[in-house]
Amino acid sequence: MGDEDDVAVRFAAGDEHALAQAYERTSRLVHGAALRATGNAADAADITQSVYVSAWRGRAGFDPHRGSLTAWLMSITRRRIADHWEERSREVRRTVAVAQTTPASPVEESTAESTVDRVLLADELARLGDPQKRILELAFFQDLTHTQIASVLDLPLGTVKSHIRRSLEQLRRRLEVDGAAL
Amino acid sequence: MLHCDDDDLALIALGEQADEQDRAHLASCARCRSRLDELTATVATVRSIGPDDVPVSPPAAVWAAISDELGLGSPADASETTSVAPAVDLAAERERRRPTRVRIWAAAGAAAVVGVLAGVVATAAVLSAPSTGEVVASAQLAPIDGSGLAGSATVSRDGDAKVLTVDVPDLPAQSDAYYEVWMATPDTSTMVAIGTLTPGETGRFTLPAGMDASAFPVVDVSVEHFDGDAGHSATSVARGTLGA
Repeated sequence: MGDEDDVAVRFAAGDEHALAQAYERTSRLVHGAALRATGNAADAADITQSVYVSAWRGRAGFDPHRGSLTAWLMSITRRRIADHWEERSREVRRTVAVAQTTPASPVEESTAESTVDRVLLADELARLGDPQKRILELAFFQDLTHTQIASVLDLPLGTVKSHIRRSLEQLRRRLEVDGAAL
Repeated sequence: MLHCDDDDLALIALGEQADEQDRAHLASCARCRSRLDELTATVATVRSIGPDDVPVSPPAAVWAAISDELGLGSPADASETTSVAPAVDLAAERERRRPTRVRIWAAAGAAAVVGVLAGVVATAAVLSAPSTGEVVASAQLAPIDGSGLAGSATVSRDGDAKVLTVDVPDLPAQSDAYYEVWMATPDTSTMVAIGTLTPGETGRFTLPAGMDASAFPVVDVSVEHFDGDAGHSATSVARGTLGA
């Protein structure tokens, strides 16, 4: 059982230290996404606070055997960011006369979703070592084919292909969401 | 039926041409198509990452507020297991967010202030993603009192907000102290606590909306102890003045 799993199990069992450890590991991601989504330090701090408060109070709804604690916390973060926008647009509707005709915008929800995803993937990319990082940089941002990358970095074609597959798979797993709602 | 090779699916997701065989298979196999769709969505998200899509540590007050709201056990217990959960008194925390007068090092301050350096700063930009935040001011941070710690700071625009980015690459971790970023008036008589700087990370702080950043051009990084004292400790490790 990995270290993160151990924290997750103790978190679910109500160990306060596990909450502090989970906060230490994940608050950069939660707060980074909240800050990016709201552009406002006070709102981001509020969202971060509410994510961990509701996670702790709702820990009965978290099953450490079904998904990672990080994924669960990030799904709460998506929810809280969406709530924030919902609240904002309600305020706007209250103050604007055309209120009744303005439907809640699904665009904002999807923005909340993708903000969290982008911060998660930025974090995962930053963890990659070389040559994976260099290979992905060329594939993602320079649009080179794997044949070109192999030639630029003087690596065997098969090595480049398997690095791309493994790294991309690692990134995709990071976006897996936990189904539990909160 | 032989499914598509995982290596090939990854390359197709990145935009490379599928060969005849893969194309034919994808047309008829829902399993491979759905794998490809997931990888393609991942690629699209990575390609949309901007320089501001980065993890950012919350200010210490956030943990204090969580701990307070949940009525967690003594803060001393929490700080044994985690360095990000210092015992911070909320009232003191609010107090220290206000401009604070620090007289002690006003005289030393001016002499140590180092001039302006245009532009070049290591931000936490991801890989080679293009930078969109326009940099409005930047500074080189010079070591104070032989700390040997130099760094850089920029103020950039993020929509209507302004963001201060502070990078002191060799900041050593300390178990009984933390680092605070301040912005101060040119004579350092008035200082605003901006946030904590974590060793090994680039600090990124959204400045309060009502704050006139140009009135506080001095960027200072100080060593602070968990002593409940809201003011500047008078021990600085690096400092510089923002310029265009």
